[in-house]
Amino acid sequence: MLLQADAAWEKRLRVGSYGTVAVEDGRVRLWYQVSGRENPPGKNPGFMGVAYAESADGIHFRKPILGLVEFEGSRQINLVLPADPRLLSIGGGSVWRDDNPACPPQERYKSWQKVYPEPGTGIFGPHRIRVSRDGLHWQLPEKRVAGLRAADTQPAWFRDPRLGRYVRYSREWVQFEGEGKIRMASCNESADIHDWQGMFISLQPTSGTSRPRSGRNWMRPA
Amino acid sequence: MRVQGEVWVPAEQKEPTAGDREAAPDQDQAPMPGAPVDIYGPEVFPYTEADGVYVALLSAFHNWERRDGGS
Repeated sequence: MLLQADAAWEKRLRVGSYGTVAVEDGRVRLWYQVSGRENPPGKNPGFMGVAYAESADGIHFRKPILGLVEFEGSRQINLVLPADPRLLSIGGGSVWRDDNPACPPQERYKSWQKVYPEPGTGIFGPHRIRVSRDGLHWQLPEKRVAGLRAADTQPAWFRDPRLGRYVRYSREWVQFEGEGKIRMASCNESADIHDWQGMFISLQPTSGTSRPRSGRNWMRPA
Repeated sequence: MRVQGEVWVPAEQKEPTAGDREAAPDQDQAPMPGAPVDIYGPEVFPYTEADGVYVALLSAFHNWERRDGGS
């Protein structure tokens, strides 16, 4: 077991499915999803966010006290997203370092997320990109993203030097043979991470091997 | 299942035998012959050791049904 929800502030949370690992300057950096232990059927946990840990060997991780986010009355924690858990949760918070030489330093790290705002907050989603200078202090870019697809399962994205463009992959609900819905993988591209164009399904099961029954969603709730 | 035109999972699924069911931890469930596979969390990245090669480490969720008819 590499990581557990064993910090005092995590006592009502669990480590979620999604995480990002990066090796930088001799340290292993880990961004991991935390979510509430209570998960009513068909609903998301009451809280979801992204926390941060570091390691020298990739096996033993420590959770630094960052003081960036207040959660249940304390800032002596290692939570980095969302900035205010009273207002929203964040799912599938994929963190990625953009090594494009043209990338502004204040946008070196990027996180593609699904936003779950609390009712009445006026926060809009569902899918947003946040940027950061250091992977810890995050902010929304001024330009609103367009054409970005779902991020509630962990998406993948990178800048493709062959294309000179950003490329992303994520899950897509697709009507299948006119009856059921299943998940497939979609892809599209962007010149600047803000405007995404040309979405297409990149991975899919063949019709000959799949036959959903009418009116049923064959995937168990995430 | 087809990935960019390449078949990488056998098209036919075998109905489990009684022995299979006894060995299975979830004996009330069985794989559905011909049921669809969900592709979930497609981790795709460029393979840096070769030009123009990309790797996908994705989760493929096989769909099961309960033997009592539930889901």
